[in-house]
Amino acid sequence: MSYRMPIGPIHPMLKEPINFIFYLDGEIIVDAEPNIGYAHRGIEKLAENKTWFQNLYLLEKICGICSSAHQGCYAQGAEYIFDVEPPERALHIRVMMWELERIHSHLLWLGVVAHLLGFDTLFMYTWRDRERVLDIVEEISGRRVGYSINTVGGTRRDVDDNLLNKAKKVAEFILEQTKYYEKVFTEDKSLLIRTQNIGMLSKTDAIRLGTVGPTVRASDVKRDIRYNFPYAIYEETPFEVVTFDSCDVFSRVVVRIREMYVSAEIVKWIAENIPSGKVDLGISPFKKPPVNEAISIVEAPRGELYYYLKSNGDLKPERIKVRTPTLANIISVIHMIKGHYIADIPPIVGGIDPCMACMDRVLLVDINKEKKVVMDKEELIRYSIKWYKKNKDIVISERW
Amino acid sequence: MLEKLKDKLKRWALRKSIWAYHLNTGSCNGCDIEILDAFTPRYDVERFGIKLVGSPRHADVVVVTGPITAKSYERVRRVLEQVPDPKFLVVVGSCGATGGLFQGSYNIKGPIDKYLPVSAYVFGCPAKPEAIIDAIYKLIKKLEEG
Amino acid sequence: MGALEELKNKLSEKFGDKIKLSEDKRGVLWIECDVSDFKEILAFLCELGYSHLSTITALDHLEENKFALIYHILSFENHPKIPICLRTYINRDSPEIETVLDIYPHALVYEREVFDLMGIKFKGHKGLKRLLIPEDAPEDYHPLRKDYKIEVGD
Repeated sequence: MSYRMPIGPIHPMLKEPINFIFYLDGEIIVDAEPNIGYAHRGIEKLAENKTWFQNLYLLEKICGICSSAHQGCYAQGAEYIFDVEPPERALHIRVMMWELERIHSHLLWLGVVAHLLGFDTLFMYTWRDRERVLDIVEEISGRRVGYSINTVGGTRRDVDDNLLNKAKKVAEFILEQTKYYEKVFTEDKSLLIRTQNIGMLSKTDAIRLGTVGPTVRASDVKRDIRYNFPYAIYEETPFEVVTFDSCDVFSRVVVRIREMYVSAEIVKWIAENIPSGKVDLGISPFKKPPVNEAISIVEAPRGELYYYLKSNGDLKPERIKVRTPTLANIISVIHMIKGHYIADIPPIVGGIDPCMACMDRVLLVDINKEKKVVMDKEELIRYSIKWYKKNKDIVISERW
Repeated sequence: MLEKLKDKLKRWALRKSIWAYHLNTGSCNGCDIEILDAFTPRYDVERFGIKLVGSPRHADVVVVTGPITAKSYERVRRVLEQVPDPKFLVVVGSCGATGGLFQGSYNIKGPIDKYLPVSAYVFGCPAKPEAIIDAIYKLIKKLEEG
Repeated sequence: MGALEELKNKLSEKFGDKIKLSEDKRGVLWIECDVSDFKEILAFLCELGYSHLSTITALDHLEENKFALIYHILSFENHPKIPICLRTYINRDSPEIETVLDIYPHALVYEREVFDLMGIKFKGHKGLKRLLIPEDAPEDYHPLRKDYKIEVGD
């Protein structure tokens, strides 16, 4: 007895258009299939029609949450093509913004996961703390989302000592708050039951399926671009790779929480050790690059972000190829979701921190009965909370 | 006479608490997280009685982000048909209003007002939460005044 | 650059004339080979430790009437800090190439993306269909090709 249950494409959990069709057998999922394309805006083609400098502002809009990762990766690649080295001070500012972005992205994700499990208070707490990070980012760059701090040859704006002190205070605040979140997520029994042993992805499977980012580090694999292929100034910063070995959704939560500690330490280090100097090489936007091709890899908050750029000596690039981390992780979701209940869909899919704007939706299909049931977001979340209450006697307590 | 009364009743019912449904037609998530931010403790639109609902059938105002991409067009139409009248469409972000950065792309079906009547535009890439709250507030005022 | 030299020697020993090696300033190894050999080279590299395929890029060389395909692979455990990009060429009139799913199972989505946007078919890929563009688009609609132009205002 199985149902065909399309969920989406306006999927509640991820606030992005996705298409899920689950193949169910009773209540267990037996198969799935990706169906993406709803946020495909043709950016790679658009990038071939804009100049090297105009593309800085196009490519940061691939994703609003990891915009600095995209723009910084592109700027780094363009600097390889133009064969220039940005000044040291610029690299420090660039890395500081990358790490602040990682903190804000992980806090956003923690809030979303809490909301998926029915814990709205924690959602409000994390997003409230995130505002402090957005404040300092706005003071440095002028905008809360989509900072546009990078340019080909450095960064567009400089920071002064006042801003660096504020950044240091924000980093210390984040270190304090993260201790609280770690306590909540590792001690609250109801959260533990809903995340432990759910969505298992073994070490060999994670490597075989090409998983990237915190998802693969949560399966005890030490892969992080900042460690394996260091770029910018990561080799000098107090950076450590965070891994955890329980291979389930809980593990992914722990990895991301601990990464916030590491990021806050890096921000503090940069605020204390930033060298003086220029921040921009001052390359003219009308300069033509040499004929060249280059790759640029950075560790975005969701994983490995891979750019390939090619120049044929013209003012506009010949080809820009972007491979976002969520596209790489979608295959492991299909693998992880099999054998689980419908009620486990939100934490498993949310566990890879999907940024569908980067990647573009998933469709899950079911077999047997052909009975169609459509559920929208809040319904799915309410269903999963009720299911756990009924079958496993779990209620998220609001005592935190 | 009855029509005028019904109209007045509708408008009175809408004034006090607007239930908003958020729809993403393929945006980069920048505007979406700013819309969600409006509901968090810093900005808190819930004090105006605005609530975010999970189903289009409960909504009064539909907040749309993103340029409509080829694949999402059909689905958007279907969702908007499910929203009961009276409904208002608020477009958040430059790409919904004009196509924004993505003008000319092969997969964009164009600004939303080519297909549906829009009540309010909020420009910005992404639009700030204060601007979004301002737009909804202006919409409420317009409703009050008729 | 000891590790890079070692890797280049290993490859030259095994494949000799079939490949052309070059490296760039950032320590990336670029390999160029023929389409009949590329799978063997990928299998060899996978055994050496290059178990992660990051993506597959397709380039359209309209004037020379061919497509270039670049396989971007990374090794995290052995030979650190040397990304490899393997390039091969295929004919533009009937673009077809062998799938690499048996070596890299995660090539599933990347091959579908290349098929969708460039129109290159992958032999042996079960379930090769469009990924991003709607399914009901016409068969020869491959927008990333150079002969498909879009109008962008300045």
